[in-house]
Amino acid sequence: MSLLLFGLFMLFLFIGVPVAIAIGAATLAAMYAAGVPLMVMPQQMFSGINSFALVAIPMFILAGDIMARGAVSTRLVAFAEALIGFVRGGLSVVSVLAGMFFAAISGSGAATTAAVSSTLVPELTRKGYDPASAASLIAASGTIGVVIPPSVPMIIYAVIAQESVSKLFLSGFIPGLAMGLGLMAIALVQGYRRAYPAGEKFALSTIWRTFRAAFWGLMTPVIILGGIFSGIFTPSEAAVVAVNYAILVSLFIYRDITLRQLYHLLIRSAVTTAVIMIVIACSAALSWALSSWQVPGTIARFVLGFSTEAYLVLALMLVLILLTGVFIETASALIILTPILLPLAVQLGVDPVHFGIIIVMGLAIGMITPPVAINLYVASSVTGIGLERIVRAILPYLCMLILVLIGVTYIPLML
Amino acid sequence: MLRLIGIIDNALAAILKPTVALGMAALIAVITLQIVSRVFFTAVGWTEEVARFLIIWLTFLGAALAWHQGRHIAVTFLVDFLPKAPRRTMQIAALVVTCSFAVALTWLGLTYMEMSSFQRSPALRIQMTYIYAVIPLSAVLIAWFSLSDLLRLMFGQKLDGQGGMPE
Repeated sequence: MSLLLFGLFMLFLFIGVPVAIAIGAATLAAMYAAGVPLMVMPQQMFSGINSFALVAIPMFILAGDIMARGAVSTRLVAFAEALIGFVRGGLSVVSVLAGMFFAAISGSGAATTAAVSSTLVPELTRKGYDPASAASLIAASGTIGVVIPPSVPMIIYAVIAQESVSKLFLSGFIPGLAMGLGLMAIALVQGYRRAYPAGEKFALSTIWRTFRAAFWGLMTPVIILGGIFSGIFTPSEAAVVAVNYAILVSLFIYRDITLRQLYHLLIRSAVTTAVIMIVIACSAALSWALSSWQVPGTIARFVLGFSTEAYLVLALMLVLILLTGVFIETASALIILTPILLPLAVQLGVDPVHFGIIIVMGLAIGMITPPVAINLYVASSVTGIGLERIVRAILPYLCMLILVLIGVTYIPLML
Repeated sequence: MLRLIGIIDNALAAILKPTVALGMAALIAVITLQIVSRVFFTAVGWTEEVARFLIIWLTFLGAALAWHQGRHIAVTFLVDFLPKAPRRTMQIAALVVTCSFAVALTWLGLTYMEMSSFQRSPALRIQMTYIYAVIPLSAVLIAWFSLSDLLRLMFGQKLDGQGGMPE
């Protein structure tokens, strides 16, 4: 029965049926063949998304969308430039730092990439940087968007694995920092090799001036994360606070958004959320079917039959996660893989929160590996630089991120 | 006839758009109320339930709207590789799968509504039938949208933005 299910799912997926419907239709067909009462389908779809933690997803997406559109991101970039722009090749280091700042506001990789590339790529090009390489670096830094909290994939993982969102958020900081530092190191080396110019001299007065300009944007993570970790808000409430704050700042303080634009952003983020959540709903029925046929257990026994060495099995899982990320979009891949891989990881003695960070990071790297590479598409469409040129420059950044992933997997201290 | 289908499609989308925007606004308002009431007064019990039901409605209705906007997540690179004729066949097959699933889900959703007519929600005592109604409602919308795409494809129009990436 599970073979029929997987076969149909793969078939539907590759003829271009949307992921959610491919999952739903394959599950329904297999249930029908197995004589399972079909009422399980609507019931599981409903209960799969009947969770207060999921409220955080549309809210963090909306807050990120509002903040990405104007004054907040340009001012954050200016502040990052004042901090680190003085080194050789400084502006590309700045693009990573700005990506990290924005990652602490937004929970999505695409929003982070869009916010930074729209402000920085024109300036990078003007100052003689290779534009394709610059856009590629920004797309790579965009992956940090889902590792440094808040993070939409982490919320999805927490709901599926029944873990605490706050714990996952807390564990994302150091891996996100490591990804940023790794990318900065490459940016520095490239800066020297290509003899890129240094930016303006380091001056405390500039830092103070740009800090004051960027103050309202910089306060966002303080409010969100401070609120969550001090226990004042649940993550879902913090997400709503972030939305209220973003609306307040951009409507009344920076005045860079109109009510009409806000209305369209509401619709846009609702649809962005729905396409993720409907995959969660359909795959709730899938996981129900899989676990009633004991598939995750069988897979775990099969794999553990070869080896019970945690490091080896983890390595295999890393390969599988990275490969899946090449072909399937982050959230869907996460929703499909977690119910299968998590029981295996737990049997090996891996902490579920640690495993969550590994799988989110691994799939985040999939945002820059074509053919399915949302960050590269965003960077290309925002900057107008051809996709192929951006792809050609991605390799060093990709290797660095995989290196950090391996580190996070095997050095538990990094959490 | 294709023009008529297009008009109906757009009319449905024109109803869905303000509905989901209103749903988002309501979600923000309800949880803001939850925070304010808990921090300054006493906690209100029903906000969490309303938020959960709102997000369920938003998911299903948003999924229907996403079909109209071609924003569902799909794996399209294989299909994009193919020459024109087999690509069209695959697109038709994919639409048939979608439409059949949506029709089945409409029926299942309606049956599920009937079965749970005696259920009431814990906090607000709303009849769960009303909450579950969103499943057949959005399923029938998706069935319609995919059927209209199918007709367009059969009568020789090209599909644009079918199954795009999320932005």
